[in-house]
Amino acid sequence: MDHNEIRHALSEYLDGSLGPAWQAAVEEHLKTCTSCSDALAELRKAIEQVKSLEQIDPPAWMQQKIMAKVREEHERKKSAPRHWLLPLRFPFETVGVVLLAVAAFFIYRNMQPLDRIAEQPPVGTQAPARALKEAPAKDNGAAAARKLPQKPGYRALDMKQEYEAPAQPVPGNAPSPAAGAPAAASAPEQKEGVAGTRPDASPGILKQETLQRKTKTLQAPGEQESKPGFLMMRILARGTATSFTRIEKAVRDCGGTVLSRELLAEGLTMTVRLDQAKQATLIEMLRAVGKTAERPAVIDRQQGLEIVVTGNAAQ
Amino acid sequence: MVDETNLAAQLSHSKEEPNDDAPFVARVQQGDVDAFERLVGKHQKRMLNIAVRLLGDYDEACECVQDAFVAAFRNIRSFRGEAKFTTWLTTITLNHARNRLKQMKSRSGRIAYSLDADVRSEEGKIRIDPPSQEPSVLDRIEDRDLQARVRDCIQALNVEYREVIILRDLQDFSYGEIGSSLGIREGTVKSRLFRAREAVKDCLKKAWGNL
Repeated sequence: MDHNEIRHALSEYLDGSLGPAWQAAVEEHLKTCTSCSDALAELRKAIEQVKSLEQIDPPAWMQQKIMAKVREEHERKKSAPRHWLLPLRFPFETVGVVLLAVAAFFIYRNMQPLDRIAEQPPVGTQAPARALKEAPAKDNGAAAARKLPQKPGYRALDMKQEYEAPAQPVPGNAPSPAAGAPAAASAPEQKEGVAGTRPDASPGILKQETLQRKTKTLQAPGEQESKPGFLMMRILARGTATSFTRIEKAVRDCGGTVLSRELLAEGLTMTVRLDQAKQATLIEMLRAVGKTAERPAVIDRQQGLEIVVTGNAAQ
Repeated sequence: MVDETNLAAQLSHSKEEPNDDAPFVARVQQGDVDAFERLVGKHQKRMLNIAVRLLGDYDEACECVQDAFVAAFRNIRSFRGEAKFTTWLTTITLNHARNRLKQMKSRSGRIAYSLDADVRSEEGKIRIDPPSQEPSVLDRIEDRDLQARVRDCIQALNVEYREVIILRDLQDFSYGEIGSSLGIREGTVKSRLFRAREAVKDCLKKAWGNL
């Protein structure tokens, strides 16, 4: 072993941490080497002087100050769950407001169809046979009349005018029966789009009115012409309330306008104005409701078409 | 023939202290803050001396030790008990001291030597920071020339050499404990300790001409 290796081992030698072999080798070397022995002595002295440094006492306030900080840290840790929830408070509030707004929106949307339904008169939703047996409509307003089933002769729904007796035929104009006599008619002097009143209507009266209207029709050819492109129709619906509803729906689906409705003993009569181009489509749809029979007719002093629809009892 | 037996006994591995910190640590981990005060009372002096010798400033060392204890309390649940509580606490104190030392050096603008620089210059001479001319608290406490010189020589060492000589020769840590605290192998501890002791010896010889 050379001096360098010995010098490097002296520190561990002084600590007593050399292995037995190294310990023996160093001791053997030190017996004969003065410089290494001197180096060992100097190193030992330096270590002793380092160890002689006094231990410094901490100030009296240090422990208290440390514990004050520690307890503050402890309190902060205990309230930490509230603290980390605090940043979430704002998002929670925002989410709550958003949920309320969404709920209000969906409630409003669900209410709208009800409003639409409330605006429409429940035409055809009541079975006419049953309606005939029920109490007559009250005299306290049209709203009450709508709700109660109508007996023959009472005001039909959506009637806006009183019934007017047909005008007397003009002398000189012989009445001639039409090729296909209309089975029923509305008031001859009805304005377009306005339904007439049919108090105490019965099949016999209907035929009478039909003849009157036919006369009226012949007397005033200028007034008989329908609107260009439009066709006047009278639909006699015989069947259940469901068939009435389906017929009316078919009219609306074809873009037609229901000008009047009359609920009679034999069924519901609707006066309809329809685009001529949709005539075939409407007839097809009515055939889906029941058996149909079409014939020309004078409707509101206009040439038109009468369709009798006999719905299935099962509908 | 030098009586090395006595010296070896003095410089033997650190005294094996019974691990009587474990019950208090367990109570602190369960939320008993008062139990932590027992640990503070027992270890604050040792931690303060480590910080003072490393930082060379009493006031900075007091602040460092307070921060170290608070950090230890904050992270007490991460202490698994695999090493002694003293070793774990020393690691925390050394980390805080190193950080504070960097701040002190940047504040003073007096970066005489790199923290990674060798303790010896190219000529083989020890780098020594000129001691501050202002009287410090340490000056008032240690008003003896020898101790002041020793302190200055230790302070002149580079940080990694300063740490090992403080822990070994001032605090009696074993090589293994030093290695655990500093995160280095035992062989590196021995090597650094040798160089640190040699540097202090040369520093003291230079101051007095002869030891």
